Amino acid sequence: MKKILEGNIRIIDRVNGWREGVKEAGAILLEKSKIEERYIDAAINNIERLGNYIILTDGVAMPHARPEDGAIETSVSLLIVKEGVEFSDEEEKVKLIFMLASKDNTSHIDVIRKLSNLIDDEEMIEKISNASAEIEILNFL
Amino acid sequence: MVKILTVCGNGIGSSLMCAMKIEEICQEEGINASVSSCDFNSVTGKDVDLVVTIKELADQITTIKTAPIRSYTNKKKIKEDVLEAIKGLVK
Repeated sequence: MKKILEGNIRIIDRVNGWREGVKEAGAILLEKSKIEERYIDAAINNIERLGNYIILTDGVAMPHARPEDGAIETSVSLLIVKEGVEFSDEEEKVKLIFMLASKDNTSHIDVIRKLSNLIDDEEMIEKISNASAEIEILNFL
Repeated sequence: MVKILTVCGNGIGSSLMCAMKIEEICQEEGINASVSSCDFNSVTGKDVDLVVTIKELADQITTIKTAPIRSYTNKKKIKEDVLEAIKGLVK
């Protein structure tokens, strides 16, 4: 997980709504040419169309689209929003946004397994939420 | 064999995470299950015994028995939400 997230973590205080949160998380991958710009739009569109299936558990979201929506390399970024951002009135505010890109339907399975085990670890999520620098987080992983 | 399908918006992220957790739960409980995942639009016509997804999507699935979950990754919550339904399907 450390290798996957290295250089892909950004910490900010606030975003103006969930769309901006998804855009910021996507921008990390866009800058590294892991995705095309349209991938971010597709991820936003999925949330608008099908709701909050990307909220994996309280406080953690994983926006994503399909490989054919402009994923270049299988990759994950992490945007930490210190103040949290609301995705819907029914859900708790999201502090961690993991943007997932997968270049095909199978190459991300190992990443998904690692990420899901990480997210299932409540203590770890708490530590990541409170971190103030990427290096601090990489040391936990 | 119980056939379980996990569902999310596009079938390759959240639902896959959940499928992995349900496989683990079934193994621990000694339940013989086959777990697959797919996107919301592909649910119709799937030959499965139980669909597992968030309430928002479960409410829109009327043709197959559903078990709504509160989280795709929190194994403890998933277990609380689906185990009874799965056990009910074991013949």
